[in-house]
Amino acid sequence: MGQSEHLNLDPVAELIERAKNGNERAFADLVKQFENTVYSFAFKVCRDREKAVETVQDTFVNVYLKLGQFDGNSKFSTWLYSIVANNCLMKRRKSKLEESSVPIDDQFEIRSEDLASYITPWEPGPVDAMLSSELKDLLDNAIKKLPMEYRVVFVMRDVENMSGEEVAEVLGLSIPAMKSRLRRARLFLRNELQPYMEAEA
Amino acid sequence: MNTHFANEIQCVNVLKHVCGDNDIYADTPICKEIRKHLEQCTGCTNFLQSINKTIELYQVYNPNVPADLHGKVVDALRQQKSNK
Repeated sequence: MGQSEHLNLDPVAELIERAKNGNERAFADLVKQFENTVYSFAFKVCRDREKAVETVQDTFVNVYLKLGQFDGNSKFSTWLYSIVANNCLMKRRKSKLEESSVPIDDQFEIRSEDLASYITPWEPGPVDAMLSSELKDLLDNAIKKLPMEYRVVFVMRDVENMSGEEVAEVLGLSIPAMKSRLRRARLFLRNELQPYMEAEA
Repeated sequence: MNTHFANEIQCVNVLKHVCGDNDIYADTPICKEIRKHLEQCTGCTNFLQSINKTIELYQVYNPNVPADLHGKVVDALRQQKSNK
């Protein structure tokens, strides 16, 4: 590839092109650049360090095997997230990652008979000052109760700040289906945190 | 401002809207109506605040990346290559 062609590529696209052409140094640089992002996402979904490390390993093995299929039509990070999400969903089927999850059905909708439970205000103040080990445990346990399909949508959209369209594309969902899962996940997690977060009268 | 939910049917629709990844700041009739409702309804405002706080808590709770992560990824890739 000539120098003028290199000038048209962003640094990640250039690494991908070199890695696709068999340059192992470029592939290693790609791993270094994205491994922390992948770990962070995997941990936020699995809530288990060992499973998160396994997911990172499986993800980069898949990237190594399938990089030739990446056509550049979507962002590399979106493609990467789709591999991580699929790995998390597959691990869920193979293992006991979801042994404590609860069925999320129509009960997890906003209903007029539940409105009274939403009135109480939550503790005001910045959230980073609230992160005690007790609250961290609560956050871990609450999200572990969510079925994986809901967890992945919540983490991608709300924690990783991906657009709704990207989340729907990565997971092969319609926009209404993505929004429905997100609404139920948010409501479920909010209700799990409610007893701890209610402001004292 | 009311101390309860202003209008139950309207409140359910507002809460579904704000909880379902919908923009409430768009310049559309429904969004204007929702913003007006939120100004008048303590219950819906408290609910929206609690949803936002739930999201913020998960955003700020970040894991520490293990120091040996890169080595473990390299090991997995070496294993894959040797299996080829």
